[in-house]
Amino acid sequence: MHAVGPGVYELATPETIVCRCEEVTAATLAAAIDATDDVNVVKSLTRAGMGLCQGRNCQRQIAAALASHHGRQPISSLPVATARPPVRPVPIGAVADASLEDGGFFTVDD
Amino acid sequence: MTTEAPLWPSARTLRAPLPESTDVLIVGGGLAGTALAYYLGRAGVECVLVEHAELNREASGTNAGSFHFQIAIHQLTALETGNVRERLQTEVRLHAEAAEVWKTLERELAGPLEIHITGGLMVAETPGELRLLHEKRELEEEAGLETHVLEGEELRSFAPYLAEDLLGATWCPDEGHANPMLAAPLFAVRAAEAGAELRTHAGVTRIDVDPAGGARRFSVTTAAGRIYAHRIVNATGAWANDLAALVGQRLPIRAEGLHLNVTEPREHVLVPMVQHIGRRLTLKQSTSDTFIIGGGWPANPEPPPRRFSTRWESTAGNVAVAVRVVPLLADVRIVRTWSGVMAFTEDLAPIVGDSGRLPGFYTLIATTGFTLSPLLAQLLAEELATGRSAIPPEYSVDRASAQATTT
Repeated sequence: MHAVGPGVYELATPETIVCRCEEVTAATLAAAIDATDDVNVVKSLTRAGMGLCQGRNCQRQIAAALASHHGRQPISSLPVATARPPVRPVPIGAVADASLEDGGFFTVDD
Repeated sequence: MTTEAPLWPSARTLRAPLPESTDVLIVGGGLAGTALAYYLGRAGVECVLVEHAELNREASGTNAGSFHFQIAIHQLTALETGNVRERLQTEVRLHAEAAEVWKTLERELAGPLEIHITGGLMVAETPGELRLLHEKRELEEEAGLETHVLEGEELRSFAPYLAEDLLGATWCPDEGHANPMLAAPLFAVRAAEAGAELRTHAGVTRIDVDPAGGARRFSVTTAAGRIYAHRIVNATGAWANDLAALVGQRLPIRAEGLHLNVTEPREHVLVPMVQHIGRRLTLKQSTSDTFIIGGGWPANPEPPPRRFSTRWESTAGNVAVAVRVVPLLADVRIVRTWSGVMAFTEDLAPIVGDSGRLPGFYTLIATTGFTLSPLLAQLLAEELATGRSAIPPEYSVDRASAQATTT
């Protein structure tokens, strides 16, 4: 990711959309960030980072807001949200593997 | 999208110093613990909740949010042994009560939980599975839970999104789902308003018991300092044995990793929750129009504090069952997988109540914890407040402990 210039995060107003996929505003994020310094909690409370891009666009802005509000610098010292597969969205039909079907925890005799 | 502030207790109160003593000390900040704190607070019972990390980060916040009221396959296949039939009926009656609790919970807590009573389908692919659906329906009817078996054209017209060759499905109108990311936090907020004290980053490391009893029976050392308690409730779910071990108790509970998948949003076509009687599947379309696909596929255990890691095989196998049952999913894209943890008791029944061996040390844990925890917390709060118990004797801790020592 490219570095951004100083002061850029201060340009946001309360109505600024920070997470575009889930349409989460800076005001909603600020309320969550006031309640916790845990990025995974912010995510689960606001849905920021839960959409199609999985936080690729907004995680830096959220990290900056967390760092600034909780006095934690540099931004890179903050833990990032848990990373999970897939790296990019994949259709169910492309990855479903019926040979992996199991009988469940318990099976039924026919 | 929403612009109102999310509901979460303030960081300042969660990190405040611990009180010196309390009547009830609740250990565990998941759904069971926060619900208990709320019901105790409302009943005027002094209580403090301590959580080792953040609220709602384990099973309570990482499950799929389904209400499971129908009897599941693993419960039915145990039918041949002992008094299982009777105990299943106790459980179904409890499920019917839990359904009532969820139906009114948004009003009770005055906040959004994204509760949708959509009804639930449990499908059968084989003649054996279909026979089991009919047996299950009889048991459920006897216990007072409404279910219907749908077959052929009736099923086709009721649920046109299901694969045409499925043999049948039971329909339970009470089933549905809520948002697990909202439930425990809202209980926590309302608990604090009702007078309960909640603290995070306060993991319990030591418990000293005064055999003489009294208001300071337990001296509890936590990462946030010491607190005296008259009574303790173990609401630590999958990690219950870590706490129980501090007082020499062993509970028949194990932690299992649970795999889940979520897709991109699509037009809302799937109203009910869909399960499979013989395979690992729960499938629903959420309030955000995404499909949430789970059902008990495994995740890899990792040592704390790491999260359990996901297995790609669980994705491939889990979504294969989903697309077999609901073919229109084939071109829907998966955007994320995640893993949660789940507490399994050996006999799959909840463990709730006081310990005969160590009076004052209570347990509050259910296998299908999301569905049952608000109700069980309500019942235990009533017992702690009044001394009268409405908890089924089959769920006694000593039943559990006794089993644990013989297995």
